[in-house]
This record gives sequence, C-alpha cells and structure tokens, in this order.
Amino acid sequence: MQIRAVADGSLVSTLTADVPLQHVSFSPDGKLAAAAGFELGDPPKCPVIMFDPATGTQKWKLVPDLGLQLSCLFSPDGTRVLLFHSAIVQVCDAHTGTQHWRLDMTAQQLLYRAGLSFDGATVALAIGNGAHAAGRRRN
Amino acid sequence: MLPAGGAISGELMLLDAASGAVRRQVPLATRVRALSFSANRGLLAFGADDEIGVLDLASNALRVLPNPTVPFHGNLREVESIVFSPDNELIGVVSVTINGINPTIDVLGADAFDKRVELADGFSPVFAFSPDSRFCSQRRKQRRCPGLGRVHRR
Repeated sequence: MQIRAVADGSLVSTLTADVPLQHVSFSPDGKLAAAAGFELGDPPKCPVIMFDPATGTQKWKLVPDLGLQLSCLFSPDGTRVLLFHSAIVQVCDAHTGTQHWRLDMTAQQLLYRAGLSFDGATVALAIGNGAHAAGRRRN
Repeated sequence: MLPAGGAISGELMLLDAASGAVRRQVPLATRVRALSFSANRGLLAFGADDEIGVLDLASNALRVLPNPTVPFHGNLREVESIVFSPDNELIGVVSVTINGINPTIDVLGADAFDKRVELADGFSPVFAFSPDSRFCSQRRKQRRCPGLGRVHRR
C-alpha cells in the first residue's frame, strides 16, 4: 500500500505487511494510518496494522482471533480506534493498540455496521438477529 | 433480544464509547443493516431490511417509516447504506435487491422523510454528498463518469 502526496502524487511511504492490505483509514490529524489486511488460508490472516504514514513504520499490530477482516474508524480526537466486523466490536488506543473494551456478538447476532458519533461519545451498532447469523460470520 | 422460532429481527445498540457499556437497545422487526450519525443535530439515521428511521440521541425519540424504495419494480429491496448530508438536512439511502444488485439511491428530507431525488439503475452502491450538500454522486450503468444529481432544496 502506497502513501502519496495529494499535491503532486509523489510517493511518501510504502506500507508493507505479510498479507495484502485491503484498505486504510487515516487519523484526523493524519499522523496515523490503520490498515486492514486479509489473506485466505486456514486460518485466514486478517491483521490490523497501525502505521506512521509519513515513514511507513509499523507502530502496532493486532491479529483478531476470529478470522475476520476488521473495519477501522478513528475517534474524532484521534486517540482511539474502533475496530469491527460481523462478530466483534472493540475500541483500542490508537497509539499503542491497547484494548479498552471489546464486545462479542452472540451466535444469533450479526453485526452489519458500526459508527462513532461526531463527539466521539457514542458507538452505534447495526445488528441483525436470527439463525442466519451463524453461517455469515466468516469472510 | 432474540427472536422466537428462528425468525429474523434486528436491533440498534448504543454503547458508551469510553467504557463499552450498553446505553440503549432499540429492537426492530428486521435486520438493521446501516447507520449514520448526523454531524451536529444529535441524530442517528438507520436502515433496516424494509424500514428506515431516525433516533434523536438527546430525547430518545424514534421515528420509523417503511423504506420508500420497497418494493421496487416488483422486487423486494433492502437498505445497503445510509448517509447523512453534511448539513444534516438530508439522508441518502442506498437500497439493493435481495441478491445485492440494482442499487437505487433515494435522497430524503431528514425531518419528514419526503423524497427529494431518486437515482435508479445504478451500477454500484457507492454514494456521496458534496461538502455543501448541494450535490450527490452515483455511479451509473454503462457510463464512464459518475452520475451527478442536484439535490432539490425546500
């Protein structure tokens, strides 16, 4: 994954990992970039890696235990990052990766989407309940 | 909340971002598939299989209406994503058929859910408002450039 300058397209840094990186979210101040990776396998590899986008240096790496590719959202003040997929949602310190809290969906719950309010105080979860959840918890 | 008899339902769950404590659970008849916070009005818009709604976070007032795009051309549709406009006055609702194709985008007023724009025959469920909320974009079928719609103001 390459980080390029908007002004002229010049290469700023290259984010590298042992799995393909699927998407990147920037912190509000632009000093952090959270990249979610995914590679099929048994088990699949799906880390979240926090980079310094200016240098491409890895700051921390989180490997979820559920084989799920996570989506990343920064809090408005950039101090925390919300990670989620169909079975879990967790909030970590954006600079260290230290987990503040984690909520696991039940076997009957499928998490479709998570969001953070603009003041950073509230997390909202969009959930489906029912037997359909069990078969859709893996990528 | 679990449905009886294996039926499908849904819920909107609000958590304290600092502690993860559950503040509120809003049970709904169908799966909640999308949500979007307004920038400064304290509103949370959400889309379920066949209904959309807005929750006022301060008063806990809840307004739920049938998804105005259901049914569409005889096909059942479900909400794929929902987006508040930057000025908080509009809601963009992206709906797809149950097999995930034929996205349709409706731009609704955030207060009355009145339809302002309908963009059908889309190619991709990708949608965005311009920063001034005057325009919205949609990727159309068989076109190289994104479709661009002007949002009707009241």
